[in-house]
Amino acid sequence: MTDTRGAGERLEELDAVEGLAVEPITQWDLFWTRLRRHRLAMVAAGVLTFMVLLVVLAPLLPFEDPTQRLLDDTGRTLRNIGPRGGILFGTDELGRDVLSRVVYGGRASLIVGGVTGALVCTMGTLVGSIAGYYPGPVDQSLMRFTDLVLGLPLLPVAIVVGRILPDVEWLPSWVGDGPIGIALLLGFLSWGGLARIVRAEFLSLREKEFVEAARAAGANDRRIVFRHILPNAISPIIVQTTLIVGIAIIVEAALSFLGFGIPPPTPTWGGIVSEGGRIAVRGFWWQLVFGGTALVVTVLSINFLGDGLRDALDPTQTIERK
Amino acid sequence: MFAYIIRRLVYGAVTLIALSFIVFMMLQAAGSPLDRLYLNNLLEDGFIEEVTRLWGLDQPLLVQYWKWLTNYVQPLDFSPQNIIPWIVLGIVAVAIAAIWRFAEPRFRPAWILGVVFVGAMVALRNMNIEFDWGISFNSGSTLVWDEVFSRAGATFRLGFTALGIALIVGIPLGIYQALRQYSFFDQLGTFSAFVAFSTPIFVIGVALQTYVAFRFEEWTGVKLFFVAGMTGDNYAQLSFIDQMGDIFRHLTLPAISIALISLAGYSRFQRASMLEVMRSDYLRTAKAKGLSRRTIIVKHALRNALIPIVTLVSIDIAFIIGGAIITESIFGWPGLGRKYIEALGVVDFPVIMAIVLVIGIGIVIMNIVADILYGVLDPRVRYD
Amino acid sequence: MAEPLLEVNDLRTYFSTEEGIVRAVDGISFTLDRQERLGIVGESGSGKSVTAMSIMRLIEPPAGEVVTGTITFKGRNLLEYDEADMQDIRGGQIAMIFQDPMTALNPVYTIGDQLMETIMLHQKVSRKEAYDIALTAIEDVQIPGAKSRMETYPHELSGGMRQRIMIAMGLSCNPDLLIADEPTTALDVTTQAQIMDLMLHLADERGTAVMLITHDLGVVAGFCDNVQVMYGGGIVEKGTVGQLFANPQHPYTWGLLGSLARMDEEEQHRLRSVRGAPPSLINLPSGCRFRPRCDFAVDVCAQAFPLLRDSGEPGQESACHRANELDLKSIVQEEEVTA
Ligand SMILES: Nc1ncnc2c1ncn2[C@@H]1O[C@H](COP(=O)(O)OP(=O)(O)O)[C@@H](O)[C@H]1O
Ligand SMILES: [Mg+2]
Repeated sequence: MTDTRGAGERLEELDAVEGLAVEPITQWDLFWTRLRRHRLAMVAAGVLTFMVLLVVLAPLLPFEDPTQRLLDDTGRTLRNIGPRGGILFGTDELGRDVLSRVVYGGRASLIVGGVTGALVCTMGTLVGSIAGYYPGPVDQSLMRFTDLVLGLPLLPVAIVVGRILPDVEWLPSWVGDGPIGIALLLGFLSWGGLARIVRAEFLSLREKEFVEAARAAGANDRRIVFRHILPNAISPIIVQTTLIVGIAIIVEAALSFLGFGIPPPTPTWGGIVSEGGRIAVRGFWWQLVFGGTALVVTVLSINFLGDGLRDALDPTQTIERK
Repeated sequence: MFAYIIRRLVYGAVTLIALSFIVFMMLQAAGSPLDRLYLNNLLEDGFIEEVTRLWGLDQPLLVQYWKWLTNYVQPLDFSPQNIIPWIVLGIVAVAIAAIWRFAEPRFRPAWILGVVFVGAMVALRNMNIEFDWGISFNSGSTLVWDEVFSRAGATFRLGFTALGIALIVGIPLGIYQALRQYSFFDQLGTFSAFVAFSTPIFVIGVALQTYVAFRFEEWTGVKLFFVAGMTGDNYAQLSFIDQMGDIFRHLTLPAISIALISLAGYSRFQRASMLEVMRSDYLRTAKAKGLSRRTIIVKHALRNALIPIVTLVSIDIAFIIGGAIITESIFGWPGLGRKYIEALGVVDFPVIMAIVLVIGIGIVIMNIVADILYGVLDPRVRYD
Repeated sequence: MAEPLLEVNDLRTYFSTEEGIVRAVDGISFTLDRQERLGIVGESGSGKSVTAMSIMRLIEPPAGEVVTGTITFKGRNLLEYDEADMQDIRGGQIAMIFQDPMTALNPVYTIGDQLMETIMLHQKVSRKEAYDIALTAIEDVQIPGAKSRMETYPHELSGGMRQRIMIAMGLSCNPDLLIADEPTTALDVTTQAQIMDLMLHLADERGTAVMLITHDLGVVAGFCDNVQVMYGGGIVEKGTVGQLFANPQHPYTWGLLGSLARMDEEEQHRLRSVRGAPPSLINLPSGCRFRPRCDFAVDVCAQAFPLLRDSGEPGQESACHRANELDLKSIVQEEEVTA
């Protein structure tokens, strides 16, 4: 990863290949080369792909029903059985299969992460672009609004809403009781940071020569925004979005942990850790460990991927060598 | 500069109103508090009629909110117990005038803030204060003020310890990593920071509680830390040293649970900021002057690299408070956060609203403090 | 002849980047006498700053490294100094002024602090004496209200003022050599000349030699004794200012001269410019580095790397295979006639 050899030594190596024609490197190639060199990011991408496949395909795979208790031959419930062949992650206090609960619990987390990410990405980019492109009253009022949203403390507000959602009668139950409701909530609370970043990017880019040139060449607003400005702002957008996805998964889990998230018996990682913590004091560690690990590994992968993307998209990285 | 302070206060007030309004409407969306009150058979006869009248519970939502808001800022009792508050008031007024006259402009806000803070602390100790935050809908008898205000101290202690740990460990760590960029230690530090940053507070909390406090004692028979609470039962009888020990053994685990994420964030941020400063032109100038590496780092780099972390901390305050809500529930810490969760469980309207606003006020104040501190550290800042 | 103040011999400074090795300075040699004013000219990216940074030993591994060469300053090779000795040299005997005065001063310390820091570092003086020296230094660079300036922060000063402070700082310890790396590039035209005048006047007073780095031949014409032209990490031509301007030997110098609008000429001649882009210092062209942009390139230019050798007037050197056969001077004159 780090090349600590002196320049002289490397030069000899270079001399050996001198004379070879060098292909021009495009931005895209550079991006891929750098991303692929970020080993942790590649591992993280692998882990995430695996998680998503597992969670999506779960009903087709031979997992137990995550809400049904397991019975032994005599018909007794298998409560708090440690990991063993056939029951890889053990069972919980109600005799449910922990492996299958962890897998199905991933659904809630990944849906929340994905939907929140999509929401934040769209809203943040939209608000930020509009504010950045139309200076004056539009910008001013949008930014005041953004400040206001940013001023709301995420968790205290999220907890209230999480607590209230299932009680709101006029909401359809797939919003009130499911991950979608939580995702909408988190999305609406967390787009402010991205909006600010995108706006700042617009403000600096709209004065740049290439944008001026495009404008002089008669490009219309939409073309300028989509062809010239947004592609340049893509790096902070992606980085901020991955960050938010990680945070959203954590907050959803925290809500479920506190009992204000997705109501049982639907499995969630937060819920699994909460129950697992209660029984871990009696030595039944598996629920806490497996639930917690799934959560940490997922968020960690997202953050590593985000880091890899940031490195790969960062234009100043051409000079600094790692 | 006056304009700046006023503007900050106005923004703060607007944020608080928006916050309370949103939470108020959210709570209402799940049904009128009256419906819940009718279900509560603990309440004395006449209580429901009384609060309905006082809080306008049978009136339109906006009227209800307005009543709540005006009541919230209304003191029930605000009386000096002796002459000291008046003396303090006088001293503060004189001090502010002196600061205005003699202090360098960029230090004025900090001085004024300090004087006001110390003055308020002394004055409040010698006053009865109580705001009309209503009566708990759940118990039907206790004053919300008593339930909430008495718990702010516990959350304060927890939050500040966590912040302290995060700063004291995170900042030096980040600086050290920057100075040894790409070393093994740096890479280890970066990796650990990522792991810590990705580990939810409740996972850390539950793991620490289960294994470091609970199972550790079972395995070894040594009680290192307490599983729950803020002080032991016999706290009052202990000597001062033992009291400190008792506090330490209660405080450490929940504080670490909250601190870890922030710590990771600070170390990452500090590392980046230090690296940026190390690359800056003025550091090149410092080197070209012939300063030693030590002076360059301590005098020229650190002073600059520490400035931006102030902003990060001010953003982080809200997260630390969020973290306190979670850890307090895990470790049975008698603070605002746990009360908040309890109140939400039974949708105790006035208690929830009171705590939301206390949290909001805390965040707004801390942000203003951070802004002023930034101005003290960075001579380029202008208040206008 | 007395020993030169500074003698650089076959200096090579390379950077390793992810695209490959950057040969920023690739085998340059030159000497600088006491009190000489040497101009180093070249377009941006030609390795001028890296040369200066190498002399100051400010190139930091692992990013970059002085690979070979010697830098003899007052008879001793700076590359063999340990860090502590080097710290005495920096700021004390060789001072440096940088291109961008806006960012070169530490924003959180006052001007006075930063000046006195240098003074106390290199001179055995008390705080009080250092204060007085700093005050004089500010007065020397003609900033009014020196006393109150001591208390101001860099951001309160304009770019020109800050560059004056940098000059004051550089000269406050009476160094033997002042390296000025494009000291006026970031300033507006009217202040440029003032600052140059001031700097060189003060340097002369102190007997300080000046190595003036610039991409502007015009500045060199006005202020230097000798000049050397850098291209692609190497020196392509050197000589006195008069020689170079009157009788350029290298097509690159010739190109640079052509792009210079001269105020003193009655007749306006057509401005010429060097076509093409600076070479990549990673994949250098074979043979002469200037070849791809040269109007006079022939086969030999692609095969052999041209070394610096005598050409033109005595003391003038150029690194061009065709220096002696080309008569660049007359091409200039022809152009002027046809224009
Ligand atoms: N820290 C560095 N890392 C990699 N390349 C560098 C570094 N510093 C300078 N270079 C390269 O060295 C070459 C010469 O730079 P420089 O000496 O700054 O040119 P100039 O003549 O404009 O002062 C440039 O191509 C630049 O990209
Ligand atoms: Mg340069």
